[in-house]
Amino acid sequence: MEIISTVVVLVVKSLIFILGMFLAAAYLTLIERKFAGHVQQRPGPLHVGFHGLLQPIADALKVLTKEDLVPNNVDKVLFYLASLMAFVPAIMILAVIPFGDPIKIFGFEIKPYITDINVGLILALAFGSISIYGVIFAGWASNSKYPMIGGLRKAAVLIGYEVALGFAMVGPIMMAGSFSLREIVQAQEGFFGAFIWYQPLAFIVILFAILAETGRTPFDVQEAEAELVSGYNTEYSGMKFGLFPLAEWYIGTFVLSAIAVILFFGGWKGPHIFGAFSPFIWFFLKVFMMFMFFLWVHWTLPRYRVDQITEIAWKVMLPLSLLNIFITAIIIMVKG
Amino acid sequence: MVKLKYVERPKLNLIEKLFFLDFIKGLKVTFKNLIKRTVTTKYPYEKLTPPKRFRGTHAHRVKDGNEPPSFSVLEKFMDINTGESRCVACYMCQQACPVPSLFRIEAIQLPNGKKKVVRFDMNLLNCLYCGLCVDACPVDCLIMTDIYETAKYQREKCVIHMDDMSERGKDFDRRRLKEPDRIWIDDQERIKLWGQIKWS
Amino acid sequence: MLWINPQKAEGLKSAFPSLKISHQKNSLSVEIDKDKVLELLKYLKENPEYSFKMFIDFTLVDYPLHNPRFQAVYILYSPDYNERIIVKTWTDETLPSITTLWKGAKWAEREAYDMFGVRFEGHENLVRMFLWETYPYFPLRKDFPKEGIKDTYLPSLNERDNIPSHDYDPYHTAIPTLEDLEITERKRINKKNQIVLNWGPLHPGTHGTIWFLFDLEGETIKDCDIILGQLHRGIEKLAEDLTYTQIIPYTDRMDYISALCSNIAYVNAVEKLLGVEPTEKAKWIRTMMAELQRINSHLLWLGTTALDLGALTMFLYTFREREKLMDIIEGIAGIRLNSSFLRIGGVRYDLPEGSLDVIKHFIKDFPSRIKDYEDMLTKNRIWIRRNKDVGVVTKEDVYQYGLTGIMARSAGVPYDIRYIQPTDAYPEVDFEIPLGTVGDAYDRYLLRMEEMKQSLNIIAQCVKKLEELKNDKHLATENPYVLPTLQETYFSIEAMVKDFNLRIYGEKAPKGEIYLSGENPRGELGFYIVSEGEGRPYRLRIRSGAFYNLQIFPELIKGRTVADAVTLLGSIDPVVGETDR
Repeated sequence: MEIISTVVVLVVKSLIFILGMFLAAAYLTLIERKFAGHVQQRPGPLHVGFHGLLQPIADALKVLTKEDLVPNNVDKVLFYLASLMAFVPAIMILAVIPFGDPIKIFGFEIKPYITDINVGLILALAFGSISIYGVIFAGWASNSKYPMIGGLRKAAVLIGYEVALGFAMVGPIMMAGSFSLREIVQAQEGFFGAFIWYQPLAFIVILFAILAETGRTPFDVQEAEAELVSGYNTEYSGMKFGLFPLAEWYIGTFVLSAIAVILFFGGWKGPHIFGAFSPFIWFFLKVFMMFMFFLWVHWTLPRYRVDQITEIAWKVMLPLSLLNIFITAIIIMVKG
Repeated sequence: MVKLKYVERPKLNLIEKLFFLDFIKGLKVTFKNLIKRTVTTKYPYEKLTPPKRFRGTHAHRVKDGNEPPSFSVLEKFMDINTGESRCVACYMCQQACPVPSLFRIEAIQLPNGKKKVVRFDMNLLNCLYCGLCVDACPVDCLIMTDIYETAKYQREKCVIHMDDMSERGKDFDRRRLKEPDRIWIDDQERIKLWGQIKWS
Repeated sequence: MLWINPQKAEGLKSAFPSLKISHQKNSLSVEIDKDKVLELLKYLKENPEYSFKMFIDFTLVDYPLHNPRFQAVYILYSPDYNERIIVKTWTDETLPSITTLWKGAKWAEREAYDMFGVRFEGHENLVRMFLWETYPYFPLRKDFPKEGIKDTYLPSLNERDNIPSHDYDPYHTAIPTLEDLEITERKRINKKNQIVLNWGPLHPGTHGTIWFLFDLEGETIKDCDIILGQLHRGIEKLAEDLTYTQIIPYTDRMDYISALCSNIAYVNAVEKLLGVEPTEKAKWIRTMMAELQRINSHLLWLGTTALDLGALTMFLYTFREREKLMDIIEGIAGIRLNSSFLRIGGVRYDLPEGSLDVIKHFIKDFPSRIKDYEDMLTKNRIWIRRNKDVGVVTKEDVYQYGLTGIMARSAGVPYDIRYIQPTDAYPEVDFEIPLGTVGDAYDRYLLRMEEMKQSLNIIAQCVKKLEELKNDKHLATENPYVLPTLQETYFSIEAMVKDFNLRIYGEKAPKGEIYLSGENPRGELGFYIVSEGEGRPYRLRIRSGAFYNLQIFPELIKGRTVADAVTLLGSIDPVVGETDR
């Protein structure tokens, strides 16, 4: 009985998370388009619904009903698998992200996370790494030159920044003394308890790493449209195509922003001014600000060349994150 | 006086490099623009009026009493009623046109010795919209209007004929004949992009 | 005119006794036998007294009744003495290739082979320039019909019930098949490395329809060639059947980003040939419009290059300002892009009411926008890293390849037509010509930004002058070669007759030749016109800056990556309408 109820709760929760993420991702596209529009002094989507509010739904319908072309000479299995491989891991990271402390409603204890395992962060990193396969598969299976180059570029970038990202996360982990995301949040008390004050170096590295992982502008080499048409997803169409940017630009950015918020900005912590939902509101507000910051960067900067990106990853970001570990260790030792 | 000058190549100093001042400068510009008003014209819901000189689809002015003196000289040989196209079949537009086969003009000799234009076709698919034909028309008949939405579904629809050109000419003159020769007339619509201009 | 001093040209006779010197009103040319031509060119290039180091143009003229049939024309420039010279020779079938002297002649010779069928001995890869390899004709020969040979029946075009228009023809001139294109591709490049990447003809990064072939090793480009001609419309051939006025709209369509500058370069050449002097006001209007167009063109360049390098927002910012310029040009010339604003002897219309106010407003507003652009890019470390040391051009390259415009100036060569051979109102305005020190893409970016500021400065001076010249005439209609204005035609029968005559017979230019160029935003746009005393040019050769600038691309890109190709192409800034003509 216990097991069944756990399974049911988990399934329901997962469904809520997945559907919520889908909806959120759809509306993140609208936010991005509106933001980009206003940055460029144009209004963005305007005519589907009030100020384009129904635009994501129209887009989704369009992408879903488009003719799904599969070129003749592709490796069919990998071709289909690739878009899933890119999409599923991104959404799976959600499983370990806590959105707040457990709350009690009508006597039931509701935990706003799917699972709280003590290696949550490692799991998140592992899922993040799987999405590399999606990119490489897409590039390889398309049997075309541009996707191939795009896929390899993205793989090179991802490998470089996974390492830096991993090491940069060590700093907050050391300070919190745990891999569990919930415990990391618990370790940050008060406004000056947030790890951003102690780990600015790690934060910069993680900012760069998130931009690179999600393929946002200074690092969007994999689909540098002037060079590679559209990169690894050139041969895709319909929803198979739609999943790539959705996974990368929206779910990926959102989830990694959430992790960054947990690691550096105290997660859901904040003054209790919104009542019972205060933690959620704080959390989403912080993630949203983070996301907007990435958009802002995306719509401002030009992009690096691919060799420069990997150069930065290995020559700047990795030493910096190692240095950060060293400094953190000293601080912890001195403080006892 | 023309002077030669070597441009300076700016370099980032250490502080700018360490604190990402170059990025922050760029981010400042984008933020500044984020809070500004949009400058777009929401075509096709809003449309700007092209200037009077705009070279759009061709039209014929009709005989309406405003003809230049040259018309009265040439009119003697022609059979043109009021309200009909002023074309005197001088073929000057065809001569002036850089595209050899764009025009097809035919005139017949009536029993009373006068000429009548029976066909004036232009294949606008070949048209460069250079306006040389307008410059060549000695009787102020052929003009170019402000109509710029010329896309059609069939090729044959892109060939314009004398009747519809006369209609278009009447319409254009009714709307814009009296207008002054100004760079544009819709200041209010253009304010969005341009801001307030100081007119002398 | 920049022609070599006739006495100095006489001096050549001591070394080359068989030399014939012809000194005309608008040109100075020397003629020599075919077997001596290479020797003469070498002498001209290397002798310090002449030092015609810079290659400007090479072309052929077809005289079917003359024996030998083809006249070869070399145009050279001496940067040390600021002089030009035309070298001519005659041939029937072959010519020695001058690619050993100037690498820049490579494409010019290929074009000559493509259009006239003259072969060049010693050319490294003499293939067609614009047309595909299996095309059987040589279209610029005089015996090739002007409307083309319509021998291809395309069923898909003719599955219709009714004839769509009076000039519809079911037959079409030849078009290449896929096999033809494959043969063409094979002749250009041999695969030696991992993959041959077809970058183009339709690709977001190529700024038009250029077809690049990259032989890639990883992402490094080991070998590169370019297939041009997707936008080749044969303007040079078309021009032979048109009066001088009728060619003006075609010059719009060459460099469609800066149509007014092309117009001005062409009209100036024709005016010199006809001996027409435009009115004072027209000159100032032309200069002003040319500079507006230059800013317009550089803005488009800035936007697209930034877009290619990932700065998406920049594109919209530049297009916002460009829209204003378009509004100005539309209000003055009637059309935003292909304005055909110029006429022989002046400009088509006088300035409309309020135009100077709008331009003044623009002058006041624009510097703050340039500052925004510079804030976003100039010191941005990514921008610097992407542009620095990409495509370094040396002075020697400039002379070898005949690079002009920004490409030449980025290498520190002060080659600006506005400076060495000013036309219109340029002798009377003050401005600075920015020069680069390194010659890389970053220098070219800085130069273009600086040029926009200088153009703004020139426009301000023009506006001031034009306010004084308010009531002047915009067209020198008293000249017999200048078409009367509409108002004159309406009221005077003489004007009408003159108009009829000029429309039907064209401007009967005196027999002779001329080479005159203008400073296009993309480089030197030169017009070499041969007149046989008819109302139409016998031969119109267009020396396109973008064509010669693009020629150095394969050289500069070798050993670099695809990402650099984007930067380099952006910094060369070709417009395919002009490279292909």
